[in-house]
Amino acid sequence: MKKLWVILLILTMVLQPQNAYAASYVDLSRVKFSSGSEPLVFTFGDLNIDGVLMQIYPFTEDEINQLVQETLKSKNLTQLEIKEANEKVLKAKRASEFTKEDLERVKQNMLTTISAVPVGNVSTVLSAVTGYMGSSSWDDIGTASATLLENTTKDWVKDTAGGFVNKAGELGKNLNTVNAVTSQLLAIEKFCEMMVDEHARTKQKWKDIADGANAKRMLNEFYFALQNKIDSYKSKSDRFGWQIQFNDERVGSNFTFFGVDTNYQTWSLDMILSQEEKPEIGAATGTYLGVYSIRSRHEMSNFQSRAHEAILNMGEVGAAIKKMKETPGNTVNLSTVSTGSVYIERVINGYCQATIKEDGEITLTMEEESDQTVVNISGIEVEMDYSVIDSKIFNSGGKIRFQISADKEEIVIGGITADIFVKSPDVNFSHEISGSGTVNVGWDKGIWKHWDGTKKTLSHRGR
Amino acid sequence: MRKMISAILICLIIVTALSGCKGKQADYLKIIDAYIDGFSSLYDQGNEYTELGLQLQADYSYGWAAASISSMRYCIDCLLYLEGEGDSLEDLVGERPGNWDEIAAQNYASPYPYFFEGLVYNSQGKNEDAKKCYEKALVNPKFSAENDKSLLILDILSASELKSVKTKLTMLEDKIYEVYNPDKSTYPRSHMNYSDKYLRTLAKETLTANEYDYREALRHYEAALAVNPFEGDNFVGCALMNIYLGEVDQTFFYVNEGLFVDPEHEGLNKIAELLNQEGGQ
Repeated sequence: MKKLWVILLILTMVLQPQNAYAASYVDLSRVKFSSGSEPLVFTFGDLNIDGVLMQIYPFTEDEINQLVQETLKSKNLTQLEIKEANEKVLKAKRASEFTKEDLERVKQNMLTTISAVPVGNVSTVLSAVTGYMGSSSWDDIGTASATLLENTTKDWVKDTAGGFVNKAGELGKNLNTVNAVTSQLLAIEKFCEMMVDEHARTKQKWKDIADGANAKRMLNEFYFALQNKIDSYKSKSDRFGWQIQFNDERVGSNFTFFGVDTNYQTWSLDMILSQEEKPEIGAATGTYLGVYSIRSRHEMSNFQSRAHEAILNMGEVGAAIKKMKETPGNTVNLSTVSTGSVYIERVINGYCQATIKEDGEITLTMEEESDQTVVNISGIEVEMDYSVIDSKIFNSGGKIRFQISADKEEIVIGGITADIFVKSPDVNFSHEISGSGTVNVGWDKGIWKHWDGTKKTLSHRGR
Repeated sequence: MRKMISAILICLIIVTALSGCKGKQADYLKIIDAYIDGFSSLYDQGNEYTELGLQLQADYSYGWAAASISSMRYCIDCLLYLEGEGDSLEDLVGERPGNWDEIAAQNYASPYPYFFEGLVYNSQGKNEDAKKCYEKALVNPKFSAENDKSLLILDILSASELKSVKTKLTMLEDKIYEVYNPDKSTYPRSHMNYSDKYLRTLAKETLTANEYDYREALRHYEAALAVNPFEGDNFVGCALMNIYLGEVDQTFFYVNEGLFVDPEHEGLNKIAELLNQEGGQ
């Protein structure tokens, strides 16, 4: 019941502007809302992914406003009626509950307030009485002494009382006197109303009080129902607690692959951790357990169109081509003749645990369960057009076509075809050769620089 | 046979005539009924306050009705005893209130306990004692010298009439005490107790004599509140004394209830403001 009065108090003190909220006339300032959700950041390498720490059933003003609406509906009330009831009860600025220490402060403040008012040499308690009462003194009479009691029996009282004694005697003797009294009395209209305390208040004031009381009762019932709904919802909210959620949250960045820049890598994270231990009911602190899945996809059109640059960084083949290019007199021109197709995807799954402390610090541990990478590179062809001057007499040259492919994290160069020629004054040789051999030229692990070997952290955004 | 029929007819006429006489109530008894109706309306008012959750005001109305009705009924018990009814006064009173002080203490605002006590003295021929009681009733402005003197007719009622009135009163008493069962007041009876202003002055005198006698001052303020639960000053007195006594809940109770019936009261508003400020810290 006390809760209701607390809400009523605030209700009477804080009236928000109309239309500000759905529950604008229902004061909720004493309801301790949760934040409902807080932004989180998952960091790995140089990348950040945004996620959220949120209550499964948030205890925010929006939810409570919804409960207010439901309660209004169930009570067949409108905002306007609440407003009108507020106005009726506004006169009763009900006090909130607080401690004895608070009361001690009030007492001192009262005394301070009163001491600012010149009240002569009266004591502090009496000055409080004088300060807060409208008619605390008996100025017109003096004191409530025995003399006062004697003086109250004035002459007309004595005379009338004496008359009463005599009248009783007369009534007993004379029936006519009885009849006279009776007829006089029964002529008084609405005799019963004589009993009502005429000192009290005008009828309008009584009506105001009654209206206020009715409004108070109506609000009591409303807030009682609302309180029940809030308690029930809060209980559910507390029971289900908080969750860390990353729902297909993404981050992307350019990266260089075999020396070719401006490829684009996208990481998407699904991670859900549920609150398992709740040191404080309703709070986000505690231990969270869950699973995660992070997926990396790649846009490789630059690598594909500039495969002739990439091949220079591909193991021994690249080294040989570079050497040829660097040899004086040689002319080597590389071009990508087929861009082919590239598909690289990596998916890492596992379990994770987080602990959120009171100061907001989050400790995250991730345990990898599986790590699978799918690579499919095919159809990329690079042509090398070269000429070699061996002497002033001979020169030779040709075209060599390299096919670049991969079905795992290992680039393979193979299927080489070459069209070579030797020219001299005496020789004009040309021959086309082809081979089915392959050369493994490794993998550019820089593609995984953000994930492999880096620290993964979880933190509140902005902290 | 004819004689028998004649006898029956005569009996019927007699019975009819007698019942007709019995049904015609003397006019002066209407006065008593009017008062009983008036007291009953206070009981109804108490019910209304209870319904509205205004318990202090409900107690005031019930107390007013109880003090008035019980004093009238006790007066009738005394008159009946004086007319030779019952083995003893206690026998006539039974379990009902049978002490003027206790009856009056239910609400000192009612002037009727003094009046009916005086009427009993009057009937006993103790005119000086009767006069003192009438004086004390007359001091109370709620006593109407012009109208209430008509109640003196109680003294001329026959025993059967008195019994008839008593029946009505006890029925009403039962209704009231069914919903109103206050602790017995220990506040001493005085003819000035109808005045909350007087009682507040007693509180002030108590504090003047001993600044720290909050408990006794509170007793006076509570008595003032009982006889006028519509005056903000009475709530202020109770709230202030409870502050000094460290009674937090009571302080809030009096401030809240006081503002409800006297919302414009400056002192109560000032206290509420202070309380609310402190509560907000």
